[in-house]
Amino acid sequence: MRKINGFTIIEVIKVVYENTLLELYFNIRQSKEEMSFCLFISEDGETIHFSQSDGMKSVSDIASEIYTVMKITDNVDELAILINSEITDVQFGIGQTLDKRDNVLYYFKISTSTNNFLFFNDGDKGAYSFDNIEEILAKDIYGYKWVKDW
Amino acid sequence: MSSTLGGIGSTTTYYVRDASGNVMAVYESGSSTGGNLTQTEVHLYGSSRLGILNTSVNVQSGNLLVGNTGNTIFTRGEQFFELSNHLQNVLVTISDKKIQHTANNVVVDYYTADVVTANDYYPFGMMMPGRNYNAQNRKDYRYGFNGKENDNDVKAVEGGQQDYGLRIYDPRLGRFLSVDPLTDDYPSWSPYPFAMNRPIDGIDLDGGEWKPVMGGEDGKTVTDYTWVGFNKDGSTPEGSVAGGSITTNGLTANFNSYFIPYFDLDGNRTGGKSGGTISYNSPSELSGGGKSVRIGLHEHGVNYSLLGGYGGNEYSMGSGTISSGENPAGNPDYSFSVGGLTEYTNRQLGANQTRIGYSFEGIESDGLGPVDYFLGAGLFRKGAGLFSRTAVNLFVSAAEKKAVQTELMIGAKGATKLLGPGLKIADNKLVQHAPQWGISQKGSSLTAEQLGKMRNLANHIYKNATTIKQGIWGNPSAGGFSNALFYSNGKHLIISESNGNMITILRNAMGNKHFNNALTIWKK
Repeated sequence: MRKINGFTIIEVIKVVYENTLLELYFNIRQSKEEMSFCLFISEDGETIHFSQSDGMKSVSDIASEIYTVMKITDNVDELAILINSEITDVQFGIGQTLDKRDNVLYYFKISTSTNNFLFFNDGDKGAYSFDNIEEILAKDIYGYKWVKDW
Repeated sequence: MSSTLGGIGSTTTYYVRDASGNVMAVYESGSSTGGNLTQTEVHLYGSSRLGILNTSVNVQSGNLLVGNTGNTIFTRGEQFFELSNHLQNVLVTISDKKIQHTANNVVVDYYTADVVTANDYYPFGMMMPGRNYNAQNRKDYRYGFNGKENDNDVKAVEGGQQDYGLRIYDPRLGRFLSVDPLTDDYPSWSPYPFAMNRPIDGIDLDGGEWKPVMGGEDGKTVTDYTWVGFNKDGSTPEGSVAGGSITTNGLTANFNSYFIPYFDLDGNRTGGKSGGTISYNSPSELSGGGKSVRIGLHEHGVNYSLLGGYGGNEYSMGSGTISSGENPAGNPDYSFSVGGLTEYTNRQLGANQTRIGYSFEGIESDGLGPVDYFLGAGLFRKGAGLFSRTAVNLFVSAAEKKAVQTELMIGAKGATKLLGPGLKIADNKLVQHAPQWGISQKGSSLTAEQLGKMRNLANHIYKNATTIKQGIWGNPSAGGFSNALFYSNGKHLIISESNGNMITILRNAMGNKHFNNALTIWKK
């Protein structure tokens, strides 16, 4: 994984299907380097995935037949407070599956210059929080451990 | 609405369906209708499909709009009614026209039915050569074997291919053309057989499930009958009741002999109990509570009664009066339900007992109305008829939790009744998880057919649940549920709210941590 500490969040794109949050894309920039990373819910719904790619993603790159793809541009969405903030720390909540003991990602947390942000699964859909991170993690059932690299 | 597209210059057919996928009407547009959208069929339903009204209504002409006037032309012979057998095989279709016969051309002597089509089938559904009839210049009837729609366009052979919903079936082969979507649940079975190779006493419901078809008539006295129970797999006849008569609306149930098998938890026969006459003449004989008929037997051959009183202790299964043998004194209460309407759940078992679930049916909810057939711990369900698919599931446990299951099925496999709030399916979750089942690509919408398949899968898992758990789903601090129900068929999951609203469906989810953290509240 390429480090994203020090990058500034330029855009956030949200992918939703009928009130079910499925994916979040973050376009980030540091100096002249631009990249994006994506958080999305796994097919089985229980874990989340993290992926990176060079360059920024546009809404048209993500377009789908049935999903609603929204670029977060103003304060209508709570995610807007992440825009223009700098990522200062990234942590991955890693745990093991019950059956195969595979290492999987259950939580993703970033700290920015202004906020802490937690992305997690809520059953089989994505969810995030700025304010209730500790409360949510207190009810963890996954037995995760925070790691810096994934 | 689904549509079938033809080639250039051909016709497009539109199917209007209800939420369950039943065809309500068919419209065509194209060369056959002069380009106008035209209603060509209206399907007729009672408690099941009755037939088809063939129409030719140009819905683009405006004649149907309110305010327009015109003559209505009613034509006999366009309304087809299907006559089918216990397998729903459409054997004959007749129209709403009657044909008069006269010897002297003056007086009508009698009328005969206007037979439109007639077909006979081999057991697996292939049409018998030389035993098909289609009246000249009459439209063919689109439904056939098992009441399923024939795809005659595909193989140019009438009845050569059928759409069962989940899969396409070739009656000439007796095999489906694709793999059973539930094949993971039945590893001992080939993924291609039709109706579990039992096409005589059951049908293939949707390409994924065999459904027994056994039924009788309600409200009649039946004599000289033989009742046969099946083992839990429904594959081997086990147990019987012979002779005597059963009368509804007065509860006369006299049996000359019976044999009740019993099974261990793995479904293996561990013995049985044969006996003499069981006789009731009126409901009053059951009143007063505590009058019981033993029917469940423990692995050591000790009798336990699972049928309680009626009247004084209405519906309570021998409340305080489990009848004989090693009556677990002091632990008389069992939880069970009656009539599928009322469930008594607050009764506790003794420390040495385990309840897996009782389902008692057959008594009106107030106990005062017409009493349904009632046989010991079993009963004969009103409405569904004698020897119906009604299940009688009894579970008795003995000391040291060496439970023995006496599972009697009046009917066959699939008879187990699952008492629950009913599943209110969430289509959006079916769309989200359809890629897991290989039914669609991620991000794609579902066709009506694909959605129907997913609905069938959801219902299949729900109805075939072997374990129900209750617990947290998601994070209740962030929109999750603290009291979700998990229905598992041993492989897949349906998760719902306690009111039956479906939360989601998951494939191969036995490792799901929410499911594993939940509390088991029912186990088959």
